[in-house]
Amino acid sequence: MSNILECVHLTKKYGHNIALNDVSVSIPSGKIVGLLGPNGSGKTTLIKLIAGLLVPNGGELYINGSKPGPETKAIISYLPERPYFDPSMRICEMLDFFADFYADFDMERAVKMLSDLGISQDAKMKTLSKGTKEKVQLVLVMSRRAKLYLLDEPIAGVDPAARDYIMRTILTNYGEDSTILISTHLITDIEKVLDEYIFISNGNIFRQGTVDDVRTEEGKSLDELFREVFRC
Amino acid sequence: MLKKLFRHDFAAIGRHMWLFSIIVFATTALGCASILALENIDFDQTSAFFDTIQLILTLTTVMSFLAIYAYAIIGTVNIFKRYYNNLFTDEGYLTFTLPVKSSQIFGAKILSAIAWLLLIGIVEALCFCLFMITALPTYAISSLLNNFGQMITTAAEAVGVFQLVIYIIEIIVASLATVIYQIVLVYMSITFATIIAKKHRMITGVLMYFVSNMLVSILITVLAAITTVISSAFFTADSLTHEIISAEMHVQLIQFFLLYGGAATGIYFFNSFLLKKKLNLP
Repeated sequence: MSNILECVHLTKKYGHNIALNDVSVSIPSGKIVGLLGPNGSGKTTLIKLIAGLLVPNGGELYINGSKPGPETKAIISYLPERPYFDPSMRICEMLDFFADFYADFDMERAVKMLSDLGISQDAKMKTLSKGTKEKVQLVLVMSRRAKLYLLDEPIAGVDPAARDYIMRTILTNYGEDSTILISTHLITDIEKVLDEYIFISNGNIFRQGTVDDVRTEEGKSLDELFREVFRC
Repeated sequence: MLKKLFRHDFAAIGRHMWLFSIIVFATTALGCASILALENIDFDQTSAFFDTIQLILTLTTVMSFLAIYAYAIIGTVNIFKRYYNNLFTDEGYLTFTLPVKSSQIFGAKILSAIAWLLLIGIVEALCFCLFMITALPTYAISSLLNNFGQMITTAAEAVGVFQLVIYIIEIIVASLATVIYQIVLVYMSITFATIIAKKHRMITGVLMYFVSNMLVSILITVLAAITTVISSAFFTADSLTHEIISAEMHVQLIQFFLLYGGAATGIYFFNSFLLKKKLNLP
């Protein structure tokens, strides 16, 4: 199976702080991968590097065989931690914006999802609640038929009902050949959907494998393993 | 992609600016109505009521006149604020994950800024014209237009129609080059301040703008002085003919365009490099 993502000795520093330290990791196509680690472990930094929002200090990064650039951004669908909308825009304008720039954007799917949620397309972003903004953002991101989805803490700070909706949306909208990289520290909620996991701490990746192996070989759930590994 | 970026950016600035444009036209209409009222109401009657009315109408006229200046300032600030918000706040997460080059994002910002500054200029000119038509008597307006016509005719007779058209084109192109230079310089200052300053980004940006503007202006003045000295070495005061003076003016205008156009191009590439290689969104 080909790899959608290859990081080779990737390093990222913020001043003197090392956020990612010589990270080498590969992610195969067609999998749901959990990027798991405590707060400040480097999850968001790695995702931003893949999304092309940060420039690495060292190492190489290949997405579908190419270095980050317009071609890789065309196949990545990125959900950041916080809303990135222009508050003066209406939802229908955001839909047009996505349809204009992303060839893989499925307008029908987006309209249906918004309709299912009972969100009006005429609503202005600034009038929406935080939860609704997050839902709209998720709808836009998951309405793309992207090769790689980068979901940065998609379920952090939302209520359990919203978590279920988010997980359902992710699972029902991604293609078989697509890859999803989900960063979170809330393992229990996503464990059942993950194929693989990557444990990251202090900018280092120190464990990677399949969730099935954890269950069969170690007789533990991923959440139990996480608590054991990251015990304070 | 540049066309799409421009279209969305132009529309985004417009979401605020169309409203401001309508407001400024409305205040201008109100100001013109006040002028007409001041001219037509007989205020000779000694009454506190008429004094108050006169004061209100005068204040309305002054305020509506000032609103035109405020519109230009708000419009310009809005354009630069949009650049900052769209690139360096949370909106940047969307802007920089679009499948486009950083240079295209920057190019679209420049084009939409030029388009909106031109539109702001047109709205302002229209508002001033409305004020002028309302405030000045008909004979004064026709006298102004006649003088302007005579000035053009005299210039055309002196240098020829073709030369005059060329001068006007050169002046427009050189002015456009300075406008673009100012836009890219402000944008570059904002980018630079965002990259280097963790706090006080606004002050850093303003300082950056003044320092770079001063340095580029000194450089341009020195280069312009050198070329003027070189070109003047080819003729003496006695050899100055009408053709030589005309040619020298063309050289000055083209030189002006090349220097500011060159500076704008250099800043464009530098800012595109900063956005591509040095930007790290928090």
